[in-house]
Amino acid sequence: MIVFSTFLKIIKKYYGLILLYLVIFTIFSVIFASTNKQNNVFTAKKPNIAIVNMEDSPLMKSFLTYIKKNSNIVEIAKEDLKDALFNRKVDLILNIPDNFSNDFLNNKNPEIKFERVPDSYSSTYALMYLNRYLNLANLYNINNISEEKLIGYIEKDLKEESEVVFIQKAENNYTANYLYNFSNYSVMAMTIMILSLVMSSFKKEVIKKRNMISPISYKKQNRQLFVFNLIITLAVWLIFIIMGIFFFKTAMFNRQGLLLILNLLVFCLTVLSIGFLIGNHIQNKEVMGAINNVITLGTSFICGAFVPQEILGESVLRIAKIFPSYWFIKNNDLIVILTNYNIDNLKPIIINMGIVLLFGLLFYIINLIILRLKLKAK
Amino acid sequence: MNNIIEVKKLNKKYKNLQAVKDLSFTVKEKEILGLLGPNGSGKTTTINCILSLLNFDSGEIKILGEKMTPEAYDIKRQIGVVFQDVAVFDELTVYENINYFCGLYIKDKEERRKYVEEAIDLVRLNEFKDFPPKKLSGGLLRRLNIACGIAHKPKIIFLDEPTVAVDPQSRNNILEGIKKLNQDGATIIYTTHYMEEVEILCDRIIILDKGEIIASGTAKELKELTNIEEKVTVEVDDLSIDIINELNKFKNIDEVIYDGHILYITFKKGKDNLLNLIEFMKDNKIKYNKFFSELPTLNDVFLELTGKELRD
Repeated sequence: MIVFSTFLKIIKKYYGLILLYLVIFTIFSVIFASTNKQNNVFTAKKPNIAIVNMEDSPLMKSFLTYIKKNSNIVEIAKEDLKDALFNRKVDLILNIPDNFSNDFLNNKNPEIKFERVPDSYSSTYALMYLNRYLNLANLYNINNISEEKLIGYIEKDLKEESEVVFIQKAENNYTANYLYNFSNYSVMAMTIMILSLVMSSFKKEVIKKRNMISPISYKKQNRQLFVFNLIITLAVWLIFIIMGIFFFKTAMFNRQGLLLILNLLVFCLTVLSIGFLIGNHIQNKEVMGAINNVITLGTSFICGAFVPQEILGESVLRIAKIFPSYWFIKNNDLIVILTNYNIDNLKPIIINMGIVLLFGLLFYIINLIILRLKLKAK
Repeated sequence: MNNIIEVKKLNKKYKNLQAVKDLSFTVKEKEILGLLGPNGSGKTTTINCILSLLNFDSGEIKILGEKMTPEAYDIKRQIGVVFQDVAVFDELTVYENINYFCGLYIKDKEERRKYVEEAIDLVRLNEFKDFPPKKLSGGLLRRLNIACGIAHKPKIIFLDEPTVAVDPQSRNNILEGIKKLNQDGATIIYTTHYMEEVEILCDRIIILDKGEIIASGTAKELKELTNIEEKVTVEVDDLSIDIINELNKFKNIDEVIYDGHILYITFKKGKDNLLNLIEFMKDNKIKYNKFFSELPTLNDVFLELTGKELRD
């Protein structure tokens, strides 16, 4: 096992570089996972509203209580209101005229004048609250209803609130998806970098010649190299499992989590084939680095590792289909929305894993063909 | 002595270039055979064919009585190769490099450790054991290259121009090491384009040009092939044309060249050439500072056989 042990010694020389990569990717993964972690928590955004109120009736008090509950009331001097709107310190300015409640109850259709930030979600939001209250008030303002009764009806209706629930939260792996989609980049970059660095040393033409005249067959040497590459790949896979457990705790041990881990393993095996192919046939370390960057960044961008596949263009996705990354990421997306684990739902996931494995096999065969052609040429 | 290597009618062509043509020779046990020839004469191609690193078009190669093939692992076990280009791992130290290449042949760790130490001793790299190759000078790197090729104590050693671009001190160390390996029983095939090295080192020399053997034998036998008896160099000022013409009429004269300060005279085979020259200078009262005489070299043999110099 001299080839194997030398492989280890060479890896040791690159410990610093590997550690640096690991730290960088861990930091990226932490940022990526934690940024997207917030996406499954729904909180309504509160707009900033300034109110110029000329009235002090019970109806207006009720209206103001409702508005205060759903928005931030900003206290600004009357002369500074326009500037505040321009500077977007407030999204909406309401002008409540004198005797508004009385006019309203007597069906005189008084108006609450407003000024808003144009084309702003927040100001639309704020207007929505205003309209909601006034529409309800209009709805109940019939048959000379008393002010107290009207307020009672409105407040009762406003208490009805809808709750936003994420359906996928059932097994809590929706955010793990972001980490595992991002792993397309980190797993590929790390594995290919380590494998190609060490392989390039072994595949240097002069070293190869010396190895070829030794009594250890070329096949046996390659087998030892492949086993070591496999161990490195599995180590990288393990790192991402640990990362998953660190971020998502026991959620990684439910069915979704285990499927994500299995999907990553399948992808890692294909990456191993790619790394073996590159390391076997390219000796120049700078060229290797460039190829590694093109492959990892390129596929990550167009296959949906950084941006979800659902918002990528159709033509981009059509190109992405020729890369294993597309099928790996697609599978991650399918796994995290899985609620029913019947064969019909699992079938596309298994097929996608098969496609990823076929890519790996293809790269391995290409590698063998090139090796054979090279040997034959000599 | 037995024939360790037998090469019969070896032919190798690269597209339109005939790199090796009908090459036949044998190497005897414990012999140092020198393959001498200029760059591109087919030395490295011949070695690569013998080692099955290259396919050849026709011919037969036997090592230790067996046909050499890429799968002849029992034969490969007996062979050590030092390539022209330094073949070491940049990431490993001197010791680790030798240990790796020795480990391809010797499995037992303890035995290997002994062999590696002995190889380090042989090439005198003891002080540099823990150095990475990048920190070694060109000469030391060549010595490491040799140690990597011979640490497993092979019976047959191929050395392909091991002293290219090496300082004189390292060259002497390398040549001494090779002699020691031969004294310990190794058969050596040594390729170079430095004629001095083959003269010092080799029992027998094969001179190659354009992939063909143009002469072979011991250094002495090869030198006898030339028509030159000796070459004389005299440091002398102001020689007249008449004197130079007189010299040209001398018995056994092959060539006379005078560049204003130095007189070069080449004598063909014959007796008393030097004596006659000295007497002539005395009679003509020619004052000279220095007077050298040298016997023909392998370069002269090569020049006479091919019309060009070894280093061309």
